[in-house]
Amino acid sequence: MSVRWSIVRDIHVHSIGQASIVQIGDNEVIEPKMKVLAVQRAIPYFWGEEGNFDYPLFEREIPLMHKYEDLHMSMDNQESAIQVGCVKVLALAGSSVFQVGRNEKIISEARIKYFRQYVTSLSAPSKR
Amino acid sequence: MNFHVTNKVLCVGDIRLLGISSSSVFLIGDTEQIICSSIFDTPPESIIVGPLVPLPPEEKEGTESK
Repeated sequence: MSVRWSIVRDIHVHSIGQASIVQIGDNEVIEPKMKVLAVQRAIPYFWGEEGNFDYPLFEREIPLMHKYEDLHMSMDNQESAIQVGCVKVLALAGSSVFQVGRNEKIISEARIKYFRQYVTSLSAPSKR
Repeated sequence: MNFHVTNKVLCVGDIRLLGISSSSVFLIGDTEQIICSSIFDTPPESIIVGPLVPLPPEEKEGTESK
């Protein structure tokens, strides 16, 4: 099996987020993992050290599909290259991958807990 | 199962992407295995209505809350 090249003329990436990867070239395994605790408040006031990852979603096992039978995959690359012109990416969010090249395995995982907080009674923000 | 792929000419013009979201992959090339998983949780319990209070911090010595 011959290995294919990836030929890209121009790449423009504006911004990448937490645990995301822009890889140019070959590799074996990419495994980005991200845990996020997001807080959106009606009044944008934030204490420095608040929040913890003590929620079940950060620990629970993610179910994966099982292999039911053995799969033998063979590839016949008739052309030696994948050709792409100009690539423009505005943003990569957390735990995502943009790669130009060959790899064997990508295992990406994102766990996000998102809080929304509405404020009813207004008291001066205090340090707990 | 035997699975055979014949890759012929692959030539793409320009690609414009607005966003690659959480736990996703944009690949120009070949791969064998991609596993993407994402958990996003914003249940009713995560809506807090009340006074402006901080979320409980990580439990470490010296930072006992309340």
